Amino acid sequence: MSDNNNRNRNENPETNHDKYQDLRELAAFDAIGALTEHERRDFDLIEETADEVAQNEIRVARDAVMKQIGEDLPNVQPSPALKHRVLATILRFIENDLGKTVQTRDEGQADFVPGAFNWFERFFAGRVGVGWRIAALAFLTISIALFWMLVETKKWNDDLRGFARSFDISEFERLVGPRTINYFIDGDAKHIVLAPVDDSESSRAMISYFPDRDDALFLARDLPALSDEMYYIRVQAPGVDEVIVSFSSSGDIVGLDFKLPEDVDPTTLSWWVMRFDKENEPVKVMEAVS
Amino acid sequence: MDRVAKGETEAIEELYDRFGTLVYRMAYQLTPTKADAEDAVQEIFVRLWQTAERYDVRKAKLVTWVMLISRRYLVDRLRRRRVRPQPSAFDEAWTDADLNSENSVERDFLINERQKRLRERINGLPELQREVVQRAYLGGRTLREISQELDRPIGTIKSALSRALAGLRDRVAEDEGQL
Repeated sequence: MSDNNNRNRNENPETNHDKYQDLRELAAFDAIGALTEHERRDFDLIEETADEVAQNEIRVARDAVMKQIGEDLPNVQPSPALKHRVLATILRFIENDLGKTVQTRDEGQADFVPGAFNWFERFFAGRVGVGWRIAALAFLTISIALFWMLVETKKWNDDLRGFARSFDISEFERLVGPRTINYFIDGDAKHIVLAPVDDSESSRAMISYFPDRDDALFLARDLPALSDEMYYIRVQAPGVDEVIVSFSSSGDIVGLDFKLPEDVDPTTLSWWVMRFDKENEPVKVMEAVS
Repeated sequence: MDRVAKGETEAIEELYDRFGTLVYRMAYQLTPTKADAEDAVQEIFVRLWQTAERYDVRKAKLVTWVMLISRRYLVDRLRRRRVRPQPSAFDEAWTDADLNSENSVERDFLINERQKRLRERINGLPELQREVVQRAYLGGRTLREISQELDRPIGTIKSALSRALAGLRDRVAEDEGQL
């Protein structure tokens, strides 16, 4: 039998012998207590998820070491009083309904159960202190809120990007249309249309935003090419004068996301697309149509 | 163990009757005094009760599970307290000089034939294996701690400990064969 096993192992180096050798070693080290707390937990997780054969290998290796430990123990007997003391202690825990939440005197660190480490179970079985449970729930709530905000923000950005990607020039022209149209409604989104200050320019631009958000999309077409982010968007109103974002243009389509000024209705602002001229002086290129 | 988990007194008592002596001996081997051993037994049984519902008969024999919980507790306790194991009953008689000396009746009582054979088996191991197994098996040191203490790579320590445990098992088998 043993020869057959050895022969099989030699024929295939990837046999169970090699595969499970580390597991057997770990099981032995664990059994005598030579693993750190961290290594011990890792090993228990490995055992939890191991296949049946691997679990059996672990069981056999662990049994062998435990048998050896049992062989080597001193031949001493506990006092009869110890039994009463142990039982009385456990009964006291049971009677006070404290046992499963109270940490015993020597527990300087969290209890650990081999083969069944499960924080979820511990948490809902009440083995985690009340303070930790409250903190965990608070953390969970905040995490969910943040996640929700991230999802919503992403959705909003995706909406804007989708809008930009699907934007057709003819549609753009239709939307921008007569220069007297200032705003138009496209679903829940609002738009501010900008037109060139110089009538000879063919550029068109619009700012899209949702009234309850501070994210916005700027789309422009046929802005004369300028590199090095020489263009910028400027907003003005009583008490407000901000440069929102700077950008460059390749001469074709420009699309960018930016944040709206806080606590101000965008429709009350004067919007400008500006650039610097050769003397580095600001020049108005486009303005919101009024 | 389901009944133990439910707090049935008879089941807990039965658990103690089956394993109380075993757990006490394990505690006695790794604690410095009898009082410490009894404290440890109490803590271990509380822990066994607290974790009884997680025992899975398919994964381990009950005795192995009890020993594993006990061993882990005792090793953790050793590490926390930073004390050497059982100086009163074990370490004091650990040296070769002591092995060769005439033991007192009291010491013979405390450190019985099994312990002597264990010491002899360990002393029969090559030097590195002996060092490693003493520190891990009896001292509650982790592989990493031993690696640092002996200034040897952890792979060397693992290998030495594996060989030492196998060697001890072989020697136990030889002893049993002679009996």
